[in-house]
Amino acid sequence: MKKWIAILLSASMLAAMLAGCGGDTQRENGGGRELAAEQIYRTLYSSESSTLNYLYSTTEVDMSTGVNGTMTLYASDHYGILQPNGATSYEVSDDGLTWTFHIREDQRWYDYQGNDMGPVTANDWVAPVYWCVEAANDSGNSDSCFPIKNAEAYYNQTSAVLSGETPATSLTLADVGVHAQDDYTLVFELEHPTPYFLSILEFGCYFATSQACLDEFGERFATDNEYMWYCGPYIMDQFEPQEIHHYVKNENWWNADHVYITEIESKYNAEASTLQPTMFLQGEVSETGVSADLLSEWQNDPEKAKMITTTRVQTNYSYFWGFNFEPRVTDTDHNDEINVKWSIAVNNENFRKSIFHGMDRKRALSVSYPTNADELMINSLVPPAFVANNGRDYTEYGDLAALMKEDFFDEAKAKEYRDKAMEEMRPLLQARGYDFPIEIVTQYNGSSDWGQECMVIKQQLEALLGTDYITVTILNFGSSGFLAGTRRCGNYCMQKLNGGADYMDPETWTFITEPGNNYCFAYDTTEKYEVNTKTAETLAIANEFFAMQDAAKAERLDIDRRYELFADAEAFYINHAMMIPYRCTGGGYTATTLDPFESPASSCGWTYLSYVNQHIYTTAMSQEMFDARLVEWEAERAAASK
Amino acid sequence: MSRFSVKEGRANKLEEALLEQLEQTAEERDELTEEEIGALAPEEFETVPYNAERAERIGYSNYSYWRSTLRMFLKNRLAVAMLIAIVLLMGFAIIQPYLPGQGTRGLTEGVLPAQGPKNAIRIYNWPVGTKDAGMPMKNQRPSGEFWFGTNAIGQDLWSMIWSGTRTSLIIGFAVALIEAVVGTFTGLLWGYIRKLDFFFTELYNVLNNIPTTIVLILCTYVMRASIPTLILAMSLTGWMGLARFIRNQVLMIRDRDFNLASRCLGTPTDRIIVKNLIPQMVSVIMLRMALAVPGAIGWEVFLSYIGLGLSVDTPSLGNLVNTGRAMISAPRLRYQLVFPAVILSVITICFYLVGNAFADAADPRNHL
Amino acid sequence: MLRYSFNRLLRSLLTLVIIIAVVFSLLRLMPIEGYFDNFDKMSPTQIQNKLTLMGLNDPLYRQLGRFMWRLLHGDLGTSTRYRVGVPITGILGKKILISFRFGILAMAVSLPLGMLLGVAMARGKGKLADKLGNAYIVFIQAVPNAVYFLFIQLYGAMLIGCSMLYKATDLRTAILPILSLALPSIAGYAMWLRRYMVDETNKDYIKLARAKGVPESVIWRRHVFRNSVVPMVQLIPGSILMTISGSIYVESLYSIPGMGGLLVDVIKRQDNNMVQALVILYSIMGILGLLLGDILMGIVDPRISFVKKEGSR
Repeated sequence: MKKWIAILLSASMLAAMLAGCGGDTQRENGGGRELAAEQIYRTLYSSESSTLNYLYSTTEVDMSTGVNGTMTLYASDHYGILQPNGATSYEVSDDGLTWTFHIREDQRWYDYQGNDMGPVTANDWVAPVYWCVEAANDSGNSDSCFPIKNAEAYYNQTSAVLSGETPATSLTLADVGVHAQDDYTLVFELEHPTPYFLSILEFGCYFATSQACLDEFGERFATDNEYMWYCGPYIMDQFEPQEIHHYVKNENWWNADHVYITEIESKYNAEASTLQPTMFLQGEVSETGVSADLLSEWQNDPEKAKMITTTRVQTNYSYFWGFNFEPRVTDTDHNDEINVKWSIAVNNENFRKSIFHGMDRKRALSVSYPTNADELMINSLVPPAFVANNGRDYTEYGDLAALMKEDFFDEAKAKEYRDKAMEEMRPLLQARGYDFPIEIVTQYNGSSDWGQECMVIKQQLEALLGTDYITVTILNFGSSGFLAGTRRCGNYCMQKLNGGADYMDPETWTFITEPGNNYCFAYDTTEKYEVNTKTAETLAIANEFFAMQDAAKAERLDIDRRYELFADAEAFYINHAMMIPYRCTGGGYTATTLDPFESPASSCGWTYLSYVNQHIYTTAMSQEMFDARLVEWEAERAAASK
Repeated sequence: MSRFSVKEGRANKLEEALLEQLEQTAEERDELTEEEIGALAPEEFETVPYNAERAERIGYSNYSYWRSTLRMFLKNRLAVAMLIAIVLLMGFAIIQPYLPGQGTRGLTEGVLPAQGPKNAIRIYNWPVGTKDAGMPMKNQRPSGEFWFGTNAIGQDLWSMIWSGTRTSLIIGFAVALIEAVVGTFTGLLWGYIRKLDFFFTELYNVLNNIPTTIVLILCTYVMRASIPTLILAMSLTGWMGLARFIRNQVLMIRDRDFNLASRCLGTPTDRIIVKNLIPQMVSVIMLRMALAVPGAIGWEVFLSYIGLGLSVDTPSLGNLVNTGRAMISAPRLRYQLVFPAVILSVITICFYLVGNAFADAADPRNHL
Repeated sequence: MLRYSFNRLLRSLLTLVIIIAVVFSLLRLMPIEGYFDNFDKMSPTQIQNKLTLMGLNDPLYRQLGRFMWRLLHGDLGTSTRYRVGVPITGILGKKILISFRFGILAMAVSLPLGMLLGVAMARGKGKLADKLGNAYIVFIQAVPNAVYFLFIQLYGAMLIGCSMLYKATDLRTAILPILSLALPSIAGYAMWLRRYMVDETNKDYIKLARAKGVPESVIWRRHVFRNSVVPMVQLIPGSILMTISGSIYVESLYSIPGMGGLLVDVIKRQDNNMVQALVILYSIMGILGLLLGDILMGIVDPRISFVKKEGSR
């Protein structure tokens, strides 16, 4: 094995040298920095994978092996555009139900030592789907398969068998809508027309897996790097849990020319966040996150100040401040009072609007993101740049377009709504024996940044609207069991909530607001929780919203119309102040010797974990380089998407 | 049997010499002869009447257990110094919030971080007119204004540390007290009542063999970490050791001859316990109590390290040390680790030394 | 002796069964959401699926029975959350070896050094050696481990010029972890040995030996030291066995893939099988350690006999 690696290394170094000689373009990227002699990516990780089985797992650490070791049919490039990967082209039938992919020929499978194990065929994309719909395999990715015809039905059937009940259907695997017509033609049959199907292909159940490999290893499949095969850009030749993950470049990958990093060495350390900055300064790791506390330290040192950059904004995760429409606070000594008063307040639209317009979101964001709060703040639940149709971003559709240009923070308006709310609510409160101020209970999970954010908001809201109107109570729930103990059981009044996207379509965000959600409970909860304090007015708004969303979901053929309907529904929701959009993810500080604009830029899926197309440079990127590159990259991306 | 054979080398000679001396003194005994006795005058003698009380009096040494203990303890000057240090420290920790100038310091008042603990530490914001007006004064080094500096949220580290000391000491003392009370009581029962012996021995074996780490982690994971939860979790594991020791002592002592004698004389059981047993056990009980306090703080540091400790708005020495650890890569911010670590070390050292000194002093064998 | 050990082993077995049952039941109190990574987006069917596959939907007695049955066959089960599908014996085997190796090396350093220090302190009682030794012991026990380990790592790595993390190939990186592991043990051994030796010197027969004119060095070597070592011997098997539990601080700082942080990790991940396996392992180690210690003490000290009843000890 060592000899094999040595040959690989020298070959790739030679290739890199030649490539370096040839391309001036490589020097210009990365902000004008020089390429490092050794293209080895070193990093630390603090959470060990529980398994390498990308079909089973949904956590980032586990998926890294799959992303780098196998192939998806299509993969996002560094502009976020889906490019052919395992497949070379595809066709969609007119009714949108049949997708045919042509598989790239001459691809081979290798084991962890680099031995050839056979060709990659169309069946290698049928096998993973079959594995995931089998309930006994307990795959976390099975719901990504459900757009395929009969996939969900088959899954439910096998689940029933598992729990000892008699299933309602008697399907076989052949009934599930994915077949290999021949060695290089793959056909998917879908339940409904799904225009965004291509983006779902970046998820776990669509990573190539050889049936022969599954047969050989059976239950041990992918429990270790020795029990899986590789056809992607990298081969994992070493896996020692709690010690190291080591990848080496696969020279026979079809796009190996664009793989510049020849070795990836990822070492485990439970104290990674404490040690990584020091190790970065000593050159032992290729990049490190910089915490807010370290940030001010480094900014005061002229040498280190040149090494810090912000990270790119990412659109696959969104944060918002949610109002709890079914308050069941349990963590104070006067819960009944809080719950009753809050249920009166939250159902009053003027109250919600006073908070909506009174919260200075930028100031709160500046706590953790002093320099780039503007980039992170969003005015909708679905972040801008998440998905676009023919170059037109989703947030430019329908009523959302106007919303995006607004600045919600308006002190005069806030006070106006406050006065109206006080008038309307006072009799209701007094009828129950209470009076102003309304106590707003918000919880956080012990992270000091979050706590600080809450405090800034508390201070600001109370100063603006007056403590005879509202007071904010901040509770520290601690990190263990946080979501279960606060959001999912309604143990809060207003809280910073978040959710992530699963595929590139606005429908993926509806799990947050749809009936039956465990976020804000803005639906008739009588059946589920035996209590419902929402007024008819609120329920009317909610039901109208659900109707608008259902109409949007039903529209599957005309994408423009679909996006418009979704955008209208979302704008409706936000205009009634049912939630306060806040920010998307990313934006933290880092010191890196890579160029973040070379890495895949998919808005969802796992491709962002890939190391294709990236270089290691000798020095760290500075903020000026970053800003310059950002402008460059956006221009290039706009050009490429036309 | 060579150089050290006492018999051959010395004893024989010694024996002979002693015998000679004995004979000599016997000859020189100063005794009165019969005539001399008769020549004595009766007036030189006084008759002593019969006094029932004084007839009962027997010789005894003027030994008081507690006084000897105190005397031995005071002889150890280092321990006394440490004891004074602890008392001062604890006293200061209690009085500190009420001292003048500990409140707002005349700066723009910040915001109370959480409405849970009533004595939450304020956050200080930059006053109006400064560069970051309204934002918290994060990570300020120690200065005239903030004697220990501020932490990452803008809270005064001086107040945080004293509040943390209070919390940690409360937990420590509570654990020590519970251990002592429950342990002694159980141990006495265990030793006296033979029928319970098997049950308690099994219980002891079970509890002793479950590693403390598991019990602590499970407890704090299932019930959220708070001061009562921590006290409960730490007490669960400590009392068994003391109970076992007490039980051993009880077993040994009830069969000793002097106890047998006391029982024959009709001494009630509780007097036996108080006068005979307790002095032997007090030294160990006090030692364990003294060591339980730094022990509890140590467990707390461990729990904070693995993320299951008290939440950050209830300051305690454990989570102050843990928060400070994250600052270690920035030399300017290391004071956030140094101060809590120093206070923690001082407390541990003091309790440890005082506990050991008291244990030595209370051991009856040292009362020479 | 044999009969005594046998009896104790039997009783320990009963203890072990009770421990397993108690921990097993406690683990069933853990919240259900903790078993999932992506709980919000899972459908009820998926949730039920996983719970059934993990055997959590059965009544408690049936789960316990199944577990005991498998245990009797020597099967510790497979990990459900920590490393999915991997047999636990395989996982533990590797890690135990690593922690054991480090622990033994650290003991090989700390035991002799600790004893030397203890002897020096006892012989020079009240003088400089004693005071310095005391100061060292008190300091090590007072300052929290987590703090000075971190400092040792940061500055030590710079001094030696090697990587901060442990690499199996670079032996220099093993120096700092072993040093960190040894420091607290040295303090422990020195403290106990000193105490036993001082107690020993206060005994009457030593006074007699002095009165007879026995040279000091012989007294120390033949009488005091040998007799003080006897109670220490009781600790040694326990310490050796306990090295397999690793030190969580040292192992997490230096990236040593041993047993140290394993317990915390598996409890947080709610991997019930692993937690149970670890509890069984540690309990057995504890019981065995005590037993071996007592036996060893009985071998070393001819006065001790195990025929007498427990109560008179």
